[in-house]
Amino acid sequence: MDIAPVKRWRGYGIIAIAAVLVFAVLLLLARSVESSAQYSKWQLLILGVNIAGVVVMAALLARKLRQLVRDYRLHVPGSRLTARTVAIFGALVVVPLLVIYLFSLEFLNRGIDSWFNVEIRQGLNDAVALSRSALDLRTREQGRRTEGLAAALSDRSSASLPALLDEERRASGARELIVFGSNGEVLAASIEAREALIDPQIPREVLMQVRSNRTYLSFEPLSNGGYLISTAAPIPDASADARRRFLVARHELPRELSELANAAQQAFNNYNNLAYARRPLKYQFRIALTLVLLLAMLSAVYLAIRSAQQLTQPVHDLILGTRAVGKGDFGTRLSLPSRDEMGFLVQSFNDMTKRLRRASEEANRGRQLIEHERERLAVILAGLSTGVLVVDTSLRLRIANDAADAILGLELGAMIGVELAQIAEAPPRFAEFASRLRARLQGPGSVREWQEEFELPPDRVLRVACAPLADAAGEAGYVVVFDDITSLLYAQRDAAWGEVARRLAHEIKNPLTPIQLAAERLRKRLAGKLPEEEADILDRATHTIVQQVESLKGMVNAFSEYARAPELKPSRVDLNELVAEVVELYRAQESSARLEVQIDSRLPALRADRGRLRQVLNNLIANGLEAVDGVADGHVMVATRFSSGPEGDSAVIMVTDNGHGFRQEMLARVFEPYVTSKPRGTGLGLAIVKKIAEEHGGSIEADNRPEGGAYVRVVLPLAAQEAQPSRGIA
Amino acid sequence: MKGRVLQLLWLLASLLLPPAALARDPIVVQSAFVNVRAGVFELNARTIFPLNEDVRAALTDGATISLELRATVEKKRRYWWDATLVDVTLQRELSWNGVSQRYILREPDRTEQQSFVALDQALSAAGQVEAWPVVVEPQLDPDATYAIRVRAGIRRGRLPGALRTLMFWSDDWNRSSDWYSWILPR
Repeated sequence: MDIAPVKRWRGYGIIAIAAVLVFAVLLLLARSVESSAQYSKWQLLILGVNIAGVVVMAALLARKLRQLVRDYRLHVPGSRLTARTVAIFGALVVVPLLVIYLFSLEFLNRGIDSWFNVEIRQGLNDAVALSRSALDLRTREQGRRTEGLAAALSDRSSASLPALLDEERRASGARELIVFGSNGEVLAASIEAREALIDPQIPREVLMQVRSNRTYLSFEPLSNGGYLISTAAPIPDASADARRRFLVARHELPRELSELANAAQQAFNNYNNLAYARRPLKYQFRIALTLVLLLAMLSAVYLAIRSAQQLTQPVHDLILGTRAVGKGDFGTRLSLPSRDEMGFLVQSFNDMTKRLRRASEEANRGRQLIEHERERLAVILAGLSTGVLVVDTSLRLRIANDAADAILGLELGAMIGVELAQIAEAPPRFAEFASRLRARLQGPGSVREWQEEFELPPDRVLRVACAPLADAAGEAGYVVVFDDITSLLYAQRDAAWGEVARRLAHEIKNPLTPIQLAAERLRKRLAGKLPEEEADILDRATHTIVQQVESLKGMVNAFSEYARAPELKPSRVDLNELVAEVVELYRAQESSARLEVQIDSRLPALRADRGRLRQVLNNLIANGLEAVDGVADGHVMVATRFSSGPEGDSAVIMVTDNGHGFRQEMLARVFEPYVTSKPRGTGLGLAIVKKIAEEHGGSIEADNRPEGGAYVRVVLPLAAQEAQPSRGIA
Repeated sequence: MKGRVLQLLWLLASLLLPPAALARDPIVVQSAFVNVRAGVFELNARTIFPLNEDVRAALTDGATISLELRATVEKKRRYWWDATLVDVTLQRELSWNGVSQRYILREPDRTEQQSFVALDQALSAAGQVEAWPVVVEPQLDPDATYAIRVRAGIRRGRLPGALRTLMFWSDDWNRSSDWYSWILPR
């Protein structure tokens, strides 16, 4: 399950909840500012929650900003784009907010100030004054009535006062009419309701006022919101010694007038209280506005960062993905952020990586195929007995196989990239090869494809074929294929000589017997018929004829032997025993040379044609003895040896002598027929030995010894004979 | 611009400068004592509230001045802070009735009110507290010692709590006397 969308939706949920909370808190703040009295208890809490919200938001924003700065410094992909986007978003959000804030502050100050202008205050003040004037007028009027009533009571006896007061109270609508004596004692009273008696005592200030013959006027508020008009006047008395009396009248102001007066007073008080609260009210509005601004601004910047990060997240992913692709990771897949243009871009990237991955896989497969083919080619080249060289147009070596190394006698694998002419310490064979090749490829009149035989010192012949290599840019070099055909040539030569020998044997051997018989018949018929001198001549002549015919027979037999078809009769042969047997025959002959034998007891029996091997030994020993003929302390060593090597086990016959050795010019052709340094030799001895060795799947080599003399070394494979008999072995 | 700077300086000055006129006349709890009557501890106190032109002007401007007497009873503890057993406030409001030209003294919790022609009479009446029950015998631990503390305060208007808080630094009306305390007699 992909957790990225879950995290994203969880983030959206948190933001939505936070937004609702912020909105609710701001709403509460606004309501609490509007209705301070109603929210009085919660106002500080609301304020605190708002401040806490600002602090939390600031902390979140600081965290985001720190992360942004860190990413920016660390050059995290996409951080610069995010920073730029945040700066733009932030500017777009913060600047208008600040402008609105400043203007709102200004409007707030002006608005609140405009509530409390001088005209309103003065108007309210005037309303209160007007109420007071109206009520003063009413009070004075009531005072005059009280004075009138007091005058009317002047000639009345105390006994008649209650009835009169009752009558007057009802007529005037007063609550109380009380007549006090000079000491404040109640002389008579008329009260609307006894339980509603306001004050049965005459107040001291009233007493002081009326004692000085002045009318007392008083106007005071009541707990029930009404007003009480109290008036007092001295009752004039005709007799001078009569006791002073005072009339106190208390009237309640009509309800409608009281309410009007109270309304004016209340409006005045409220206005002044509000005016007094103007400054803290401004503070409150400013704080609320500032909190709203801070919350809005911090939230906006925070959301701007978050939005920018979300907006640039696909870019960030694309950068990382591009880097990964740059490093060769074509498996990069980006999650689709949305279905908009960015989503299209990411989808395109994913398609691109998909195609790149396919292409890469195909390229890898192709590379593997090429590598495989290269390995196969290397194996093939390594397995080829044909030498293969690839050189570029500058004749720098590019490819060389093992066969080329073997044929040219040089480890060419270490010379890759080296120009052929620059290869130092090359053997003469290679130097000649390179020289011929360069002349052929770069010389005048060079052709694109050619075949030629190169004769290389000392005795190698190579058949060389060359073809140009071409690539898309044109000619890229040459491939040179060559075979060492020395052996082939020798074989062809051997075959030619064999054919010659066979023809000679056939053509010469047939007349020899009649010649010999004819000569012997002549001698027999004429021996007794001719004079002695002529008979002697005849005898010598026929003898010479017979002798020469014998000699010719021997020669023809030798040729016949050389040309004979390989019909081997293999059997188990103990080579050591055979050597000892043959050597013993030669030891029996008189010879000045010493014949020595060295037997390797490890040598097992081998499967071979015993007679042919005997011939090999005969020829080699005979050659050796002839070679030391006339040499002081001449000796011939016949040795057998068991050899074990990477190509398998083999039996080695080694015949060495201390004679004159091979002449240098003959050395290369010593195994060819008719090549001999002996005046009477047929030149077929070593050729036959070579032929027999090859018939047994073996090889032969001959060379001069550094200490003098020569050696011939015949190698006969053991395993090959046991498991896979050679061509000549049935 | 200049006006705005001056306004700002004035605001700072109003925040930082000490309270003005009212601070000259302190509030003093002149006397206080407790009478125990029928298991009820009744507080009697006399407080001198400042009488000056600021108060008079505020009242004639329509302000309501709150006059408070706060009493606490705390149980004395040896190794810990004292425990507050009772914390009560007696609140009275003094206002000016411009229509009748009289000062009105009332308690918010009661309907009765008194009116005075002179401010000194009104303040004197406001500072006079008689037989105010603050605690009853069953609330007290017989073995414990209790301290009673009394403090008087004056505030202007009926500002909401938040506004009062905002006025804390600059409102020279929001003032109290020192604590007047003694051991509760048993």
